[in-house]
Amino acid sequence: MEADCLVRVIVMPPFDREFFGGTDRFEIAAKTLFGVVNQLNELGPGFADLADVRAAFAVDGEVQPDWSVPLGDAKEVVVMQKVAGG
Amino acid sequence: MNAPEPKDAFKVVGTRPIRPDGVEKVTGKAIFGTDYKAANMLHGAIVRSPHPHARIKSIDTSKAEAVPGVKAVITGADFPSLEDIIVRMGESSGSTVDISTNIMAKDTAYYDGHAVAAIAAVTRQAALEAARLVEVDYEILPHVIEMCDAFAADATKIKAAINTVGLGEGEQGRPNASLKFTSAKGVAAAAMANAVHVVSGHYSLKPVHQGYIEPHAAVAAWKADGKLDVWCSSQGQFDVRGLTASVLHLEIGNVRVMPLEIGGGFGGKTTIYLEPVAALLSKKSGQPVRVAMTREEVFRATGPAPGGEIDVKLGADADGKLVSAEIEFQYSSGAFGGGDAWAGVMHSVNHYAIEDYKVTGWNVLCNMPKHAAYRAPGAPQINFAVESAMNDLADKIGIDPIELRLKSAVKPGDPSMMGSKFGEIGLIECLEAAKAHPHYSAPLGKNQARGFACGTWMNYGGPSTASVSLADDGSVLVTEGNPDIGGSRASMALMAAETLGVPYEKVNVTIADTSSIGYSMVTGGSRTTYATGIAVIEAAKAVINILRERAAKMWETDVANIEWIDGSAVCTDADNAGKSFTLAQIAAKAGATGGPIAFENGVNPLQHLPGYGAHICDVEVDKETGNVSVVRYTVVQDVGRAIHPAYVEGQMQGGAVQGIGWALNEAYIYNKDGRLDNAGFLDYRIPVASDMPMIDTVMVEKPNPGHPYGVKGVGEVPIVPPLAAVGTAVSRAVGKPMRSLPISPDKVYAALNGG
Repeated sequence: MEADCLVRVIVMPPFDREFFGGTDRFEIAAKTLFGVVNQLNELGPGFADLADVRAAFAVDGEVQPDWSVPLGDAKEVVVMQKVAGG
Repeated sequence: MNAPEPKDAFKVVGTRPIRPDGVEKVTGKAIFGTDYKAANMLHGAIVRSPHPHARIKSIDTSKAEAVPGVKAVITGADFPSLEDIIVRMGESSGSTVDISTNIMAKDTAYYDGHAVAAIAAVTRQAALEAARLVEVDYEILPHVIEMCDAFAADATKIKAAINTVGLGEGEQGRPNASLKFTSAKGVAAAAMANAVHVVSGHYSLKPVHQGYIEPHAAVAAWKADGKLDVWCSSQGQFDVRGLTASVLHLEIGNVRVMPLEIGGGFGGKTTIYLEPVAALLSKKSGQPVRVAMTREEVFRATGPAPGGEIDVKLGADADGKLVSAEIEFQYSSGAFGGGDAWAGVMHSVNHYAIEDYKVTGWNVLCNMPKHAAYRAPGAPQINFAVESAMNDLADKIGIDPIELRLKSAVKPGDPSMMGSKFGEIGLIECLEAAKAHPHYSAPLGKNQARGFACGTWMNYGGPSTASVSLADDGSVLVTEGNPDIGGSRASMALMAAETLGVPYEKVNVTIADTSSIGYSMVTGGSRTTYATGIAVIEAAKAVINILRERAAKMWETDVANIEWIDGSAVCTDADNAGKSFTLAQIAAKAGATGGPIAFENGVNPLQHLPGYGAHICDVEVDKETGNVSVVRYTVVQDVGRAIHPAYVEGQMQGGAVQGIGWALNEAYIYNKDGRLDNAGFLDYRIPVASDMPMIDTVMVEKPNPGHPYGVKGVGEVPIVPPLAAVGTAVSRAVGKPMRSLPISPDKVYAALNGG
């Protein structure tokens, strides 16, 4: 298994205020997005339960649907709300 | 395999074959939601609140139950009590309690038309008679419908439990606001103060309906083993299954949903209204039950797109480059939480590169049905305000409106408001194509004026499943889990045929029920041709690999010696060099080479790209009556790659027409008692063919590298720009800003006559 990757996590509204008291920047060490989500859940309990339904993740600017892909040497993860179309 | 250049490298992608479902539909044989009949089926009717807000003190169903032929009566008390959890609703999510309560009121009716009881009887007439005999004792409560009333700081709160999510520390919400959401970058106020050119305005829009022609209908059969079968038309049988299971507290696997043909959805059929009602009536009566809405019920009880009140301020430097945007708006969300404010914020200035902005949106509850998605949900409203202001800015600076937009238009590599970077987007190409179009410089006639607007929608991908299998004679069978609303049968068949190298006519596409294939998200969000298309292409590629393996067996050689060329396996080993087997020849030997040839594939692609459109609209104003006619209209759109160009053009034209209707005609009209006064197509005026000119389409093809054939979503973008394009054209024709939609003849007449 690869070593943890230290990434800057930017939590976009409304999740920042909804789960993290308005804080929107974190430094998190994780191997995959699963690790990011788990650690965010410790900081904002309940986030993990809703993340699959409501959140999307961009790793270094690219949307990543597979949470199990190793973060490798990624620098930034942006947590954003999914957009619902019609 | 990526989108080949030149484009004519494709054999079938990009052609315009006859749609597979066309004959069944034009001959009236296709089975839509209201057509389906089950053996021994009962007929349902729903009792609806005549009050926009009322506490239900009691419901007496005894007289209804005594009507001959009545087999079951249900009220909100028959629905399971639910823990309030957030469940998946297509691409979005929703509260189970809100969904259930919107389907059937429990202790309070929240809008005119809210269901309070339902009947099942042997005939529709008996059900309707019984419905009239249900006695509901209401305590009428104060109601709020208009945004100005609902958002007021001292507004009547329509629910005790409303909590404004997203407030800062110590910040006060509003009584009926369920969400405040802000997206900000830099310091917008300071940048605005330094702007050379500033424009501002207030814009208003009324809620509108999706206007699908087919009413909602569902047949449900609660079986003896406790499992539930449902037949209905929807934008996604899997999400109907999931939502129905959640509301009825059933295991998902115990609910099977059979998709019927759909007569329009436009986002409004991504949720449920009738399925749990029919199911509970079936459970109580022991027979299958059909419940279908009348047109009036569709208007009174199903989802409008939000109306909005929007304040926009834009600032530009001396050259016209945008330097700041300050926007705040409120969207109505009906009587329940959720809403489109988030999407409105994210589509406000996402098509412009601006260093400093602050955009705030509110979702506001009112006594209307729960809002529902409508084609690019949340984007047309905010785009109306922003693009109208852009045209004001162009006028103020004295610059061509398209030139103004080109100064700030986003390009590949720019950051989006979402935080991700834009990929191969085509806004600039659309703007340049619009400017070069003859329409843009054509002379105008008397009382005519021109408007321009551009817009965007993010599009989506997400989970889809498809299978490809072969029959013994080489017929190709594609099975997908997405209802065919905008031509998915044809586009899936084209992509399968292109990949396999077989004629389009050899491919047969079936839309499967929820127990016959893996999950697919709704047909919506402009996702199906992109995401389900990838599932089909990858399944077809897997089938090609199986065919190569089978051919290798038949030649007694290694699979590495088999190439797939133009629908045939071609052998490259020394003993059989140049020999080939067609797909049909290999399929005929499937039994002797390993069994049936088939592959099912599930995908979750998110390499979709946003879509962009640029619209040019000419209107003519009748100065005696205030009537506005759209006399010429052109849609330019980045479509990625058009798999079936006629369908893509149809999406562009259809979206534009719906946007024109929103701009000129459509609005919910409630009277002072909170009752809907125009619950029908005579009084709720959607555009018809005779109202419209032929809408010209220009497909800008900038392929999406994230799709094997370059697909981008196309269905939603075209409803985004028309509101501002039409509004600006009318404003110029009358010589006054027309910032309140719909721009109905009375408003135009008043503007022309000093009102």
